[in-house]
Amino acid sequence: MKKYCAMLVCLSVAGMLNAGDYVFDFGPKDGKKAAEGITLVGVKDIYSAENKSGWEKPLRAVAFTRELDARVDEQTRDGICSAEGAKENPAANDVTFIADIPDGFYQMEVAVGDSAKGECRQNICVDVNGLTMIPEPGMGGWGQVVKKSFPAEVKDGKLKVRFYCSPIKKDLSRLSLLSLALKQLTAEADIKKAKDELSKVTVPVKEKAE
Amino acid sequence: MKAAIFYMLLCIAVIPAVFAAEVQEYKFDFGMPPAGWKVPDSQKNNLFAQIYGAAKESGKVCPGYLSVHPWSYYEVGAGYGWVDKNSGHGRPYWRDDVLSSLYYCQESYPQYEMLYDGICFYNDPGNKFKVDLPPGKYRLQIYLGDLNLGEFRKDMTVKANGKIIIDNASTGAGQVKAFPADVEIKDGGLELSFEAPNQIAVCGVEIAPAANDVPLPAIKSFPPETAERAAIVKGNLDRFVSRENLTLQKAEQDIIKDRLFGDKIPEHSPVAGAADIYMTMYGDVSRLVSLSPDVELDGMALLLKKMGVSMISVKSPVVLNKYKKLGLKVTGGIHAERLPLNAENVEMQKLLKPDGSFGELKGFFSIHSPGIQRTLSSNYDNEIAPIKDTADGIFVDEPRGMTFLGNLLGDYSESSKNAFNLWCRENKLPEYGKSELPRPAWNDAFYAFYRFRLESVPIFMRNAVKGSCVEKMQLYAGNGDISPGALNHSTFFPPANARAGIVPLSWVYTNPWMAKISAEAMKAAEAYGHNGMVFTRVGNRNEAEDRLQGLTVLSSRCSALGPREGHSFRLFVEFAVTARALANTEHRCGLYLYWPESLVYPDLINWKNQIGQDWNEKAKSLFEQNIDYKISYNAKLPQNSMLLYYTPIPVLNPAEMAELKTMLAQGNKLLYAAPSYPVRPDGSRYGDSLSEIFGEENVKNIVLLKNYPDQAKIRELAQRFNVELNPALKSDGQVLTWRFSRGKEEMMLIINKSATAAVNVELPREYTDYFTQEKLSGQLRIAPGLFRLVIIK
Repeated sequence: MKKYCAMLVCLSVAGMLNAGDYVFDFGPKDGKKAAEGITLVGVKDIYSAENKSGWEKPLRAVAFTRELDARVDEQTRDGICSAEGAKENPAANDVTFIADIPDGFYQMEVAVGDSAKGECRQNICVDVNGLTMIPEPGMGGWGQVVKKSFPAEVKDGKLKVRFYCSPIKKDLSRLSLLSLALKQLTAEADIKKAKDELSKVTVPVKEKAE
Repeated sequence: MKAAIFYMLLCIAVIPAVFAAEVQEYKFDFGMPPAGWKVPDSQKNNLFAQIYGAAKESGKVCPGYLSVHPWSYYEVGAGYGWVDKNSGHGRPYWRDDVLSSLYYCQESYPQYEMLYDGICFYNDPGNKFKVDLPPGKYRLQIYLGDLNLGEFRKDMTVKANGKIIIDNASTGAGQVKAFPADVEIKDGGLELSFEAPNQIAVCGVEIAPAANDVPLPAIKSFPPETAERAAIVKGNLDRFVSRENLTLQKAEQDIIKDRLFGDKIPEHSPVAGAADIYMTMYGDVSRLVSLSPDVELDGMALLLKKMGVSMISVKSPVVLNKYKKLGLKVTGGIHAERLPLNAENVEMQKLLKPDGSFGELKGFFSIHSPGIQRTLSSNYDNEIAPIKDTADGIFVDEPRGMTFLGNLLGDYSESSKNAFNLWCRENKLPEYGKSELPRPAWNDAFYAFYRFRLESVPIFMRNAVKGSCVEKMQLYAGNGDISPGALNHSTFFPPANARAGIVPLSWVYTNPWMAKISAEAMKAAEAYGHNGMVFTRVGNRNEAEDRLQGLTVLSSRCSALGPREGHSFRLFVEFAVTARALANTEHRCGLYLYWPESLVYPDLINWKNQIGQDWNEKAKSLFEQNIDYKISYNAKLPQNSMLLYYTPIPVLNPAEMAELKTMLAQGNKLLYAAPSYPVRPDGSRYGDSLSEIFGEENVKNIVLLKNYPDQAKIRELAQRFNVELNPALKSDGQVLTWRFSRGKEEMMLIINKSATAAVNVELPREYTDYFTQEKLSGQLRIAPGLFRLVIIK
């Protein structure tokens, strides 16, 4: 519960969760009960129209928790981590999370990494609905949780967030996903700023390659 | 009984010392530990002890002398050694390498083995060397100095039992002096200490009882400082040249034995270059000649010509003038990297740190500082004056621009700001030069600063030679391993240099595939006014790798550094012969790697050279898969070409984008291997689809590559688009097959990449050996590391 409170604090500059705000918490689900408005997402949660959120395909990943480690910050104590590193298995380090979200502009925050000392989770890139929001060389590091916030536009009622490791710097790269939160933007000025920022974001090539 | 045992023990302990104390004459040869020496337990963690303990070179001890090395500790009974047993004492050196000393081939000289090596001490007064001697008067001869022609020593002091016997003595470069001294010993023997604020080099110590009334002899010099020296220099050069001629003959015999060119060495015009910057041989000839300026170099020049050297870079004006008279093309050399000793009022580079603050690094001056420009101009004027009418050009070693060391970005100094301001005005971008220098960000201002950085080397060099006698001379400016990966580090951009009339050079240090990148990058500079040159090294690694590197470079009509000895002579001859055979040919390859000006712009924002290195890796993979390529800095290509564009973060400025569209409209193909669509330098997108970006009508000429580089795919595309590519011959090993043409004649250089195994290549039809005119068909066997040049049409 403390984790959620902390997440809400960092997410919502404007206040507590509103109707247009969403928080997805990645990690183990066994015996856990989510606070109101927060969706727990485990390794086996595959997206369907019924589920309204989940992974595009089954993951080759494990859920982890650091709750027994006194050094770990309670905010980010658990998550989902690829079973193998990007060098050994690039496909396992390229996953897409889908959620049914109403159209509009949002401020999104992703948290990745692992606060356990000595664990390296780096070079994590993020695409949102086809735009590269965290480009090469990605985010992450050694024994740390990294959060990044950026605007996102949802069209056709679907949010697709692709997490993947940098194809260049594969050594010691591994996905470790902690949470994803969205806060809907309503003020004109905020929406304009989001549009400006989104116009300068790289787009992965979508045409079919040979 | 106890008394008897005590007496016996006393005898065991004392008698050797008494006998040792009887010794009144010693001759010590300081230097490397002798063969078989084992690192003492107390020094197991001493790095130098480990190095010298494992060294193949063992000290040659002069007959009649006792070996003294840094770990010769004093032991009761031995009678001599270092008092402190807790450390090594100085570092040993040896000087029997080629041409490094006047005595290098005078092993018959009686004291050669004592003089050629020694121990060098670095300002450590704790180096006490004890010798057991009975009381009396002794005469000492202490040999100080270093026979290496580049090493001089000064302010050397030697003390005997605390009293100075040699006071602030000096030796010239390549000189050892024997300093005589008389000492009187009362009891406790002799204790010598060697001291100097910098370095003191000791070759040997001789001790003998002093006869009464015999005056001290004069200080003796090795080699003699008399007219005799000229004869020694001449003798050494003669011996050297005849020895190297024999090496050359042996190399030529080996080449004939391998039938590389048939039964004889074909005529090879001087096409390859040599430089003394890194090669010991030429540098030492210069030092040797400086000792005897009248000595003739005809033999050396003839040797160089026989090897195929056309141009040689020499720093010594005397040598340069002599070579020029003997028909060699010559260049002088200047440095641009180091902060000169006489520099005054020089502003240092102001380096931006990741946290937004600034710092400086020792020796990293701002290349835009008027102070450094004045200093260098004046220095160059003095250095080059003696050869200004003779030299065919000037080599500039390491003209670095504005630093980028991953976390430190230069140059934010006031001088740089002024230079950027001027550059912006000249390039019609005045709005960016007015305020503070732009910091890394996706915007046009920082992009302008990026472009300014790419131009900074020629700006620097032109300012540095301004007003000096070098200004009108042809400049050849070089850096090591030029590739996009190195671009931001040194800001050495070949087109920028070529545009400014400076011939771009690259010294290739690392691998054959890196040599290929550098060679093609230099060759591509031709479009901007100068065809750059690449200098490979021969004789530093194994023969096959050196040959592969040299042949890689020759494909772009470049040059090699001079040989040293042994197999490198052979390689040099091979390169000279092959380069002549390939002279005035066209490199037949329709695949171009795109290296636009904007290629590594994102490096300065978030990559720390990773983008450039990644590009290198991809180019390496092409080389490894035998896909030949050229490099282009623009999209202006001949018809039937493919331009391969790869970078993890594609940025193209509007001019580059327009050029690409024109190229596509003309029918050439773009192989697009970047993961995302290109953006402008300010980060904005050109569009969200290929048709939006390049135009609907041009999409048909774009191929998106998923798995680049993929040999099969690139070959398939070349065939589909009728683009010329080097052939993929079937073989049981790895080969390179590069094509060239001259008029109607077409040739192929087939190189066996393996250093250890022969390769059998299946020839698709009958070819003719270029050198032997032998008809070749079926299977062609190529020995390990060797090659064949065949006429295919």
